[in-house]
Amino acid sequence: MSSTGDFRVTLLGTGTPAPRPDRFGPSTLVEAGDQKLLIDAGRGATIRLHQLGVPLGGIDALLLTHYHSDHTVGIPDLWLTGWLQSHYAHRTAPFRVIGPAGAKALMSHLVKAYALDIKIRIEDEKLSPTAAAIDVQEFPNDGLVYAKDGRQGHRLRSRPRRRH
Amino acid sequence: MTASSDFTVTLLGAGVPAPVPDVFGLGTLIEAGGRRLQIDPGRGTTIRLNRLRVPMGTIDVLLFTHYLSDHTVGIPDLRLCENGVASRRDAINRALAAAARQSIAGRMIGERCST
Repeated sequence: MSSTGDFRVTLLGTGTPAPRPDRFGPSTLVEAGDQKLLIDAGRGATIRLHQLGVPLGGIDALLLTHYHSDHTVGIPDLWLTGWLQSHYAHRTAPFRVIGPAGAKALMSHLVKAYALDIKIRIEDEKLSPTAAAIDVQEFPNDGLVYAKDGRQGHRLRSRPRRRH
Repeated sequence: MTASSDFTVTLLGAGVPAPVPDVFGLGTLIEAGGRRLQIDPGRGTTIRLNRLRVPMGTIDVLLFTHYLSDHTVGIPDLRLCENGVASRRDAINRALAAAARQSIAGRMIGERCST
């Protein structure tokens, strides 16, 4: 990382919904201080993180901008590959998700959808249920989205969209 | 498609859970008798189908082998990515409704699956 105060933004994917091998779905990595935030998880986001050498478990939070599928179809992969105890994953804390209204519904349905995977991996691979758990927060239309206070603190706020 | 008695099996992905760019997640396409069966959608299955010029709307049935995540993380993409083919959604809805109402995909799609 660079000096304190800098942050780095990496576009992991800027594609459209078309399933192309050369352009993955929307996903952006923001590295600031010791924090790594992923904004949206489109198709292929895990592959791009792996290519960057960023373990999936090293993502502090997934921020969702909105709920179009091309921004969200990568969530199951990021979440459920991320808690595997391999060098490319290795999340030990709950999967943190922050989004506008709707994040709780989305994630609670995914928890039900993938319950069997989680159950099997806890039984067979002795993975920690804590790392499969989800910590989800919804942010207001005009307010604080994410805060990491301290010496290398960062804050993210949302603002209402201006209508023309 | 080939002669009526032939069938074609295409491995769309044969990877492990590691998110590597050159080997996608589990996914197998079987074409037989003018029908297309997709077995497991892993990471990247939609990309491989698109590469093969197989419109997702022409997949008749989606079959699940089991529910480990590397065999299923491609479900939302296969189900939701817009491909401009109206029949795709109908075909997958049929598969989900018939085979997976209480399973992972059934829960994911919820009530829309049963219509």
